[in-house]
Amino acid sequence: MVGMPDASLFRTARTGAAGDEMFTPDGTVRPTYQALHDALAGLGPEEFRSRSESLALSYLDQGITFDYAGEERPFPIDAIPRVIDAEEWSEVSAGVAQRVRALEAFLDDVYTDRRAITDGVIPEELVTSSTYVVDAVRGHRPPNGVRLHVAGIDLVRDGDGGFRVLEDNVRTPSGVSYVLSNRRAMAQGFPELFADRPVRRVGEYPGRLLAALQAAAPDTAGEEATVVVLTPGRYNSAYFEHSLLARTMGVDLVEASDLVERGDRIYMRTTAGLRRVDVIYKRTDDDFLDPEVFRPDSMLGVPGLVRSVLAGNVVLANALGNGIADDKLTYTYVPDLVRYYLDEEPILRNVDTWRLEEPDSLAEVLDRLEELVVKPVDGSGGKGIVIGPAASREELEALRERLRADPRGWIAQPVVQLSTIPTLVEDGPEPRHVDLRPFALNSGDDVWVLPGGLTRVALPKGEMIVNSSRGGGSKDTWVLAAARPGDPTAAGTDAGEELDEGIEDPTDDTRDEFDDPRGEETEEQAVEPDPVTSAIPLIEADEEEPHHDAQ
Amino acid sequence: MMLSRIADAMFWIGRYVERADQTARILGVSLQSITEDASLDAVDACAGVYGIFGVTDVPASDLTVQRVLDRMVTDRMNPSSVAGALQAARENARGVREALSTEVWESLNTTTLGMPRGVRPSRMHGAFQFAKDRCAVINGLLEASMTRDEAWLFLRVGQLLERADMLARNLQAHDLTDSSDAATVLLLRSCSAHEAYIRSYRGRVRVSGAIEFLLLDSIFPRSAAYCLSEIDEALETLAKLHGNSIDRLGTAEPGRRIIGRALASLRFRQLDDIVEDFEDEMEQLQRVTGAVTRALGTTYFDPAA
Repeated sequence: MVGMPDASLFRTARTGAAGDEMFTPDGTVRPTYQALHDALAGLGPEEFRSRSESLALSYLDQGITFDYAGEERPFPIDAIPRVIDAEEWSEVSAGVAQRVRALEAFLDDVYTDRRAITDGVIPEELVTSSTYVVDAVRGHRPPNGVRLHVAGIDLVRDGDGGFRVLEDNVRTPSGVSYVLSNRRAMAQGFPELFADRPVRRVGEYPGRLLAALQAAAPDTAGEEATVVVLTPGRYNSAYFEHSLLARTMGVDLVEASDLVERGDRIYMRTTAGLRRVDVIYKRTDDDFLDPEVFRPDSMLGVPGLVRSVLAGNVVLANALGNGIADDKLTYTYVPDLVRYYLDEEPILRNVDTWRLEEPDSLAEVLDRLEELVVKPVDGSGGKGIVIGPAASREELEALRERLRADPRGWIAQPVVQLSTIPTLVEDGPEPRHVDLRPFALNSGDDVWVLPGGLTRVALPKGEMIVNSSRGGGSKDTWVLAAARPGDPTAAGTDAGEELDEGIEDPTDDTRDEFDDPRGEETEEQAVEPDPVTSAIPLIEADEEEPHHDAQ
Repeated sequence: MMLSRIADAMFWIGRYVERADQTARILGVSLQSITEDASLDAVDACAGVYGIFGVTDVPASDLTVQRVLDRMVTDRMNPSSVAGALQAARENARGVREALSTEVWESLNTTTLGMPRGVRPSRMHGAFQFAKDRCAVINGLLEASMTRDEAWLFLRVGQLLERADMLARNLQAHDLTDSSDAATVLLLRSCSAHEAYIRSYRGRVRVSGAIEFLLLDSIFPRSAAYCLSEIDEALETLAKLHGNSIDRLGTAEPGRRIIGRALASLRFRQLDDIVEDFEDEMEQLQRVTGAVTRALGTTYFDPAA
């Protein structure tokens, strides 16, 4: 790169600060990012900015929006991808899968024998004091044993550069639609970035999700299970995602009012009357699912849904009552749960966390509040988090009162210096804080982790909370494929795994919007003989003009 | 079979897109004639334009071309304005995205976003052209990308019903006693039927010929008879999809009874008879729309479970 055009594009991004994923403090590009860096720099600042703007426009045109204070806004996508190399990913992926298996075992235990309490791994109060345990489903085990079909595990890089788990999301983790649409937008808007970089594909997610949901179905006497996606409706902030998943899986997107219970079975109202539903991928809160069990005052929900679940006639994914597994107090015990249920050492570490119920910890936290982050145990989406260094004296004083009054309701962590990645803002690319939410699917036989996941980026300078409700955007997340066989750098890689790794090819038009959810059928077709029509001539030979004789 | 809520939404997408298209066509012709012809009394003419869309009790301050544009073209809160109908179609589509092809959704979305927030009379032609072009794109994509399944049939019935309804409104507002060429040509143009009429009838335009063409022509896709018989066909297909394959009387589908009677009434009476109390006839034709909408509701959108 003679002439260094990058000097102008990434000038503002080389700040010399530690913790950037693209640049070392002395300003050199880290090897994982080298090829991407050079390709972006080659575009030049103007071309890069104009194509970035067209990305945002295309999101508005496609209706890829989220609801912000009653207004539809395009979800901000930043055009500088995050890159994760194959080796690091294989560890992250194994760590996420391990965590999901442990949480799955924990849920099963909580709703059946509670062995972990008997064996002293977790205190009884953890379960009895949680508002998330749903007593109605105690003793019920879903047909294929899975309660955690879809999980999103939030990771951050700590000061050492390694990934740590920040929180688990095992109720209704959202954001996977942005993984799919970010990749599609990047492949269309910046096709040349993918050249020479074997980026693993993400498009198989909907097909995998459908397979996991179908695997969870009750016995349908040989008929194909009917799967639906249940949405609170189009005013929900994640409606775009609900719709996209239903569309790419080829299943119906229903609202609660479309469903009705008859004789402990759930049906949907169709133009031909009622049709049985076997699996409901619910994207609503438990509280609004069934007024017979939760909130009798609520008009929302499907009366009788829980009865039908208990009767074994319909399966909810994720299961009711999963909230106990992503309670932030439970989080502090997950490494112990991994050791207890799986007899393995945790691959991914937690962020250090104080449990405030322990008097010594509470005292220490109250003392050091201005340097810590305090989170409510039942919060999600960044709600209720207080960041000590950024809070005023009055806020901290009020928080002290609340911690003393309800120590079970809170946990405290040191401020984690999230890593940064250059992100396009007003004056050009500047370092901004990011996290990573990989998604995992549990089909019962296997936990599959989507290569990549959602990288969320906090757009305001210095901001550590990445949620879209706090001005967060996202980045396409690239997991590089392991080196190919025959490649001189391939030494030491596991050849068995490579066959699995689909590579993104933006010029490949044979694919539809996303991969065909019924990939297996496509394979079957591929081995079938040529279609019959190719064997039948368009016109019968004896009907053709007998031109030889005509001469 | 499909979700009733989605069937309902598809029907209304069909109606609203057609309403936006027809409203743009009617306003394009009628407002242009007001601004062109200085001899016309603009206040009366504007009241007449509102009348086509069933808007009465219009305050005097609204009887200007600019106010007609504000209320009937750019007001997004009014589902009978061009932008409002597109907005309503888009909102319905947003609730049933998985039932539409991505191309159709994106086209509806960009069309709605692209409609101007305000239009000056000097620029109105561009706004009408935009709306008509975009509706044509949407209809073309529907035609080319959608499976001819139930969802498509509901949308198609909505589109045709709305088209027949708008025609009836337009004819009802027309002054039959004005037999001038100019008035008749204006009527034909606002029904987007002038060129087709000229090719079919050759020679000069006559008001009776125009009425006959608009109501009864069997191969002009905007005539009442054409729309009604297409609706009948769509309803028959729907009935077959729902298992009424041997509907020997053709009446298992309640909507078909209503459509069939309206069609027969137009087709098998003398034109003189129809125009005798023309306003009332056109009123009845509009009521057919409501009756069929209700029949679809009880049969498909909200069937007793």
